[in-house]
Amino acid sequence: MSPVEYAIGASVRIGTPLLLAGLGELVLERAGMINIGIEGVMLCGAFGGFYAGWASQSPLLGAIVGALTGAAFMLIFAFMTLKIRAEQIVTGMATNLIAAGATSTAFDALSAAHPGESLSVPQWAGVLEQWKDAPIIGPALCEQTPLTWLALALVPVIWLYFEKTERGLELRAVGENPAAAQAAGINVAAARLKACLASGALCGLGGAFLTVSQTSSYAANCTSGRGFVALAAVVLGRYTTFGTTGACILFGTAFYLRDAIPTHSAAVELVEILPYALALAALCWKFKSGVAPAGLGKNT
Amino acid sequence: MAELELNGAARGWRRLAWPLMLALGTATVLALAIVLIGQNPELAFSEFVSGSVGSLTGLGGTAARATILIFFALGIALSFRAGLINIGAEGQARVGAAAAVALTMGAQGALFSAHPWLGISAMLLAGAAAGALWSLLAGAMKRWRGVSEVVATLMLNFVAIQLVRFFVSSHDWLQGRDTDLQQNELPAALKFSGWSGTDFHWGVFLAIPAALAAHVFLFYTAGGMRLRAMGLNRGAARACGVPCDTLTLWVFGICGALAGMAGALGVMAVGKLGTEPAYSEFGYMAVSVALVAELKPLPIVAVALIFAAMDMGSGSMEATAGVPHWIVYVLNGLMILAMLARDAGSKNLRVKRIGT
Repeated sequence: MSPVEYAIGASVRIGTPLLLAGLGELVLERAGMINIGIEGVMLCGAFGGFYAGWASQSPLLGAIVGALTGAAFMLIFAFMTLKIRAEQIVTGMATNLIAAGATSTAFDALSAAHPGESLSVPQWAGVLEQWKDAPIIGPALCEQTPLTWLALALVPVIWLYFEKTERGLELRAVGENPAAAQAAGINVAAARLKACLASGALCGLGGAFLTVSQTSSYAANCTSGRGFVALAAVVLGRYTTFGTTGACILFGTAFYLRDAIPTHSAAVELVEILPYALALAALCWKFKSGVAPAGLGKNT
Repeated sequence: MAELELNGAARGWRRLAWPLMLALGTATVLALAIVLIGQNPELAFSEFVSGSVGSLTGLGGTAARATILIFFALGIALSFRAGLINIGAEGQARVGAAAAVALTMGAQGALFSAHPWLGISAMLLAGAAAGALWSLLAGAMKRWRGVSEVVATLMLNFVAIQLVRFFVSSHDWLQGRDTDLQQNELPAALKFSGWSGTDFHWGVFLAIPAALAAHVFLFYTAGGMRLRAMGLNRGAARACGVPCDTLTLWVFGICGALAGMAGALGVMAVGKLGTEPAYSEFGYMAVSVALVAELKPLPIVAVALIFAAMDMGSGSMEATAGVPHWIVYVLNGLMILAMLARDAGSKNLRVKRIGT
């Protein structure tokens, strides 16, 4: 395998959890909600997936349970914002804290109950392992686990849903102007609840990818900021499906390069900054070239 | 008259009931969680108390942590009151800390050899200025580009953390360590004289006046009233002549200055600029402090002390009773949710309305 092929394979692997979480946040934001706590949803998925995968010794079951855990955890967010109508940002932050605390506590308790054992999920084989020596697509696709294939397949599906189906149009309407959507006969709360569940499942799957597919084991706070990177990817992708996907691939490659570069180099920290700096630049630039001239120097 | 008194007493009782419920609920959840993971709650609680308020070390650490939390939470309360969700306290503090150290190290200790108080106030000023500038970056994006201040401050947090990490790892002198000259640590005068070997430092005596000043500003000055008016209804406030755009920038600046000062204090407390300071994650904890204190500056002091004690206690609980300190994160999150739920339930829409 040539170094380039290896790099492509590794970038795809690193980009997959970002893509899953990014798509999850995208669905939510298109429905007019923002959850800055998707890091926590990912952690829940990572722990739920790890626990089920370890207990049943099946990575597939782990991934399914990871998605379900994420969706179940998002119910707290949905309840707080849709039913109690609490502020979304603060709710997201609170659920993030709860997830970080709960998963780490649970894992500490689990490893205390099994001293000396290494808790791990069995290795998940690639989808087309027999063709892994094929040029480029071998490392990029054949060697990857089903979760990567699912993530890539979801990109056109989500795009089609938003752009070509009536339901998707309704969901976008809910995001653009909930009051008008309500008046047009759309059940805003129900639509948003569904978006929350879908987003939770996607983010949970992204977290589960880390524990059942990438590393086969769990560590406290193993998502290490990926949820926030996914948030930045959605912003940089300008809230479009393909834009978000592109941003996730870009960040995946950047993170691969960071790990490949010798560690004492200063570039490590600078690569870590990249997603956030790019997202901030995109935010400022968007408003300048798009809607912004009207908002420029406006006295709000 | 009797009726009136009764009324007042009932209202006072109701005001006390919520914090009591919160405290009882917290203790119950904590005890349940400890039993659930198979540890001894009695031992855990006694460790919790001795690690937080039951010993000199605990008290000193609690006071030191509370200082940072008070500064953070005051800034958060001011900006939430103004309808701006600035959650960038941690990034602002790190930038402030780095700037304070850069100033003293750049001056080769000249400031401190002149007079320790000159050095200390110079560091505080440098921290405040750098924190304010970092915060104003987000403020400018909000003011001139209409960027959501939540996303801007959140992202700037990560940029700040990594940027400071980059400077610390690539410039040894920023850590107070000069590899060529074999000089270690920042000048000793930087450390506030400790209190019998604990983390206690004089910053506490700055935090309380800061809370008083914030209280007076918020409730007894025209500026404070404009700020609150802007938070309650931006459109109406503008119509009444409140300069909302300028005020927004001021709020960002003050919030950043408070956080930056906390960062400088943090450096002076430990005598070095670390990549993982004691206040990592305090930016989010401070939001729960501010919310539990109902965005009022004076209660913030008390609430910050309680949260700091929880943070200290959880550490010793983990060390001796085998209960993971992570439990405190869950409690923090639950407290925020409880405050949000209460505000939604009552007629008081302040917390619910922020940012809309």
